[in-house]
Amino acid sequence: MPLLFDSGPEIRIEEFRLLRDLINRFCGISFQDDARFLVERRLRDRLQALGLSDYGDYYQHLKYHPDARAELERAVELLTTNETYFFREDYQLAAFRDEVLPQLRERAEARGARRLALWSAGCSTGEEAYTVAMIIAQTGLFDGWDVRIFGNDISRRVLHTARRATYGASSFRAMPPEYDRWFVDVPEGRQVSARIRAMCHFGHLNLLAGDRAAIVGRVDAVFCRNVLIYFDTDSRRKVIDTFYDRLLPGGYLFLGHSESLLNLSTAFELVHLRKDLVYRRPESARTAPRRET
Amino acid sequence: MTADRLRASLGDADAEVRRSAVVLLEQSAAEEAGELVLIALGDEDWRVRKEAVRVATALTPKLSLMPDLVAAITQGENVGLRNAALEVLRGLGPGSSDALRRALERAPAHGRKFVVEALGDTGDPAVVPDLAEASEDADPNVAAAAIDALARLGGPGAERALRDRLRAPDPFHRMAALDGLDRLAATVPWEEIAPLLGDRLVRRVALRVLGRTGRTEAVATLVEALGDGSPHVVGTAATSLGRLYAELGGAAAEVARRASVLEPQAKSSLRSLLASDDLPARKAAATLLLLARDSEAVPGIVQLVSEGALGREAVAVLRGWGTDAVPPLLDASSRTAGAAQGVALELAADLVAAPAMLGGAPDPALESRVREAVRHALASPEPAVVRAAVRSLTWFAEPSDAPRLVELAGGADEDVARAAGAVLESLAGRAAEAVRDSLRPVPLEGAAGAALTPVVAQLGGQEAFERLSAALSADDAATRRAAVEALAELGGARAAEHVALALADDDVGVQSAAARALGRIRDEEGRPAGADHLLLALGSDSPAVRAAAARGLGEAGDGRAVEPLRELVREGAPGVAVAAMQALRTMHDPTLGDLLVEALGHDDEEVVKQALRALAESGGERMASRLAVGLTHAAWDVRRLAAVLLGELGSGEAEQALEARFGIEGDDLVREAIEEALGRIRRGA
Repeated sequence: MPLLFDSGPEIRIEEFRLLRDLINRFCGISFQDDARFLVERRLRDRLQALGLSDYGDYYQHLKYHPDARAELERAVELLTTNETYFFREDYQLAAFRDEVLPQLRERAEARGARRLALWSAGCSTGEEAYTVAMIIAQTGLFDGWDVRIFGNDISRRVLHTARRATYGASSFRAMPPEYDRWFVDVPEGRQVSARIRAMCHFGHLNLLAGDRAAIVGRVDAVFCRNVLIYFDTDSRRKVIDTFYDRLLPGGYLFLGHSESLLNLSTAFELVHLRKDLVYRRPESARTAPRRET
Repeated sequence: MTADRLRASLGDADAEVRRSAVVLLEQSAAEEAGELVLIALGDEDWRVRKEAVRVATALTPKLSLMPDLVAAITQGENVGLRNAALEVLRGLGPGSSDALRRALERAPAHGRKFVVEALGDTGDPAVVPDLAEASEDADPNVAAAAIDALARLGGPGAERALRDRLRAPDPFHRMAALDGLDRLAATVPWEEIAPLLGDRLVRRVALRVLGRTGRTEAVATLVEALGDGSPHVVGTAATSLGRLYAELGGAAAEVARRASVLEPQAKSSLRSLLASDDLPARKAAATLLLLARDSEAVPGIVQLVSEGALGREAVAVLRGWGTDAVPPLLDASSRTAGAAQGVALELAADLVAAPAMLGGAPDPALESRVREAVRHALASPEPAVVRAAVRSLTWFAEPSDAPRLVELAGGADEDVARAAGAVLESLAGRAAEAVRDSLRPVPLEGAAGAALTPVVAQLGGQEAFERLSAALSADDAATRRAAVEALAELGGARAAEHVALALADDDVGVQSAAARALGRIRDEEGRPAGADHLLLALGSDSPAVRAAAARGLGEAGDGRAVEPLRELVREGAPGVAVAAMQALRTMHDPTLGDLLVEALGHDDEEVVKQALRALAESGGERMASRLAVGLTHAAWDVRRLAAVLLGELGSGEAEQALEARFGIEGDDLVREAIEEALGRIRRGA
């Protein structure tokens, strides 16, 4: 009997590249050659589950099988790390709370609307969407308004967790204690309170499916932090175009601290807030064409 | 929009208005478009400049902007304009090299550095002599810019010029040249690096380059650097040692030898590196610490294995420790969480079981510790840990474990359920009654159904047959699919009859599984038992079922299938055509010839690959020229396969075709395959 660990088939370099390219075309996520072992180990159980003998067969399954789309989603789910937590990159959230939210309120009032819409793009297990909702609720600036936060992800498994809204200790590693009031204890951990949950909605959406993004509607701000790092340049451009389309003029785009639009888009202006730099769709760009370099 | 309105917009106070005007400029037929885009290149707002770069790159060939762009990079007043112009020239590539070479002769002193910089971005090998000359310029800034430009340009000529500069009198130029060679991933002979190793300024870069020499002499210097006080130096040296080890050969053996006697200080530095954020350095440190058999590093190593950052080679080194690795792995298992904990546990179970398996002496005390850890982990809240524990039970499961395994097979986690089923299958071979008793009260449906049906098949007998037949009517498709496969394992004409009914299942997955299974089932005399049903299944509405039936017929080897399979190759649905072609190959259809030529022009590359493989197997005439068609295919994987097959064919014609393709092939994997194929042909293999 052979040893068990790593006992499955090896992924050959051409199988890896074919799978990588297929996944890239499906959702824009990009892997370098050094991710070969990661792909081999994380997808090994799928070969077993489907009764396939090697990764070449798995590639053909993903190309031709009637369930290929569902299986592709499953593969992406296994290959992407989804770890996140409440109040991640808090300096940016402080800027959102202290400088952006008052502006958004003013602008909405000027439009005669008491409505605030935000999008947590690539929301994973939902901590970011709920963080934003808690911040809004805690400021009291939008009490009585129609506040809607939409979170999307390509993985149905993480959306299930997001909707269940119950989290273990690692999700709370950076949460300031003053936000404890928005949680209730349950046997499986701590659950987001009903009021905050009611502000958040989650949906299954591939960020590269530009047309389908219309279901998000027009939003005042997009949070897409530490998601674009998984995408290749062309896919990033497409996703950024989608954000531009969905944002209202003057709407904000929040990226992760190591992410920028340099060489991706000139359509957004860089705004120097006191605590952070963020991108904004220009107020005057109601009809102007978009271009990227 | 008219030129006047565009000009007015470009002077607007709002940057967004100016940026939008630049976008419109691209479509403008205005004579002044060139002048206007140059204005935009010097705009104060980066977004306007960036947009202007794109438009200027598109317009330059049409509007002869080159002289203005060259002037813009040599002027000293507007830095934004200069950088934007440099970016445009970069985008134009070799098209700008003549103008830049002329400019180098007459540019003002302060502007020559920027002309040199732009030359480095042309990608034109013809500018190497100009840059080589500039790298010896009396102005140190121009010389440094030229060295950097050579490193960006790359190619054999640039590498030669950079190697010349390793003997430059200025130490900064030597360092820049070596750094450039490192960026190009160039192999620099040991003899040219050795004199630089005593120079503190260039030492760190030299350590990086040493990793590509492939020379045994480099190892001692790199190991010595592991004792350096600077984490950066240690990281560089470790990464180079890791690279030398990965390339195998004599240097790899020397790395392994020296790593086995590392000083404590070096091991300590490598452990710190293992905990850093630098992934390549972490991987290299893990490799060296594995070779050093450093048990304190095991938690960090299993973490990397669980992240997929360390592959089979590293795990093989750990296995080489034998049972010495078990205590640190158990310790790591208790100090890590999630996937890393699972990896540590599974490896410990493997290693403690290995001596018995290989005929060596088992260590009962150690085995007892592992068993205890495995059973404890079965109760973990982490699915990855439970999965690893269940898999580890393959070694240790006892008859008394059967009820718990059956319970796990009915759990919500599909991977745990499948692993539990696999352990029960293994246990059934040595404790059939215990397994049978545990399974008897469990209905084959729902979560447990798919996991347990293979176990039932393993137990065999009339009871198994009846239970599996009944499972064909289970509510969930996963159980029905598993029952089909399990019945195929039992075999026999009756099993084929029952499986054939599943061709009428409402789930396409079950139908497909039935078609595949029917190809495998043999009757009591060893004859294919499902071919009649499979011929009918070829007419299914579902391409997936047609493809499965085609594969099944290939396995059954029924001659009546040849003509229908040939039709399926032509029918167009790629998945079906691939399966039909595979089946015809399996059946060694001697009449494939014309069909293969046709299939080489199929839209789907998988069909083309199957055709190439079948061609290579056919041994027909003009095979080399037909296989060589694959070398020109748009898909890299088709070209790679064609190269491999031509290498195996090994004729003079094959060699010529491969040589011709090598000259123009851009894909690294295809080039690698061509090189290997040519090597094989020239060796006469």
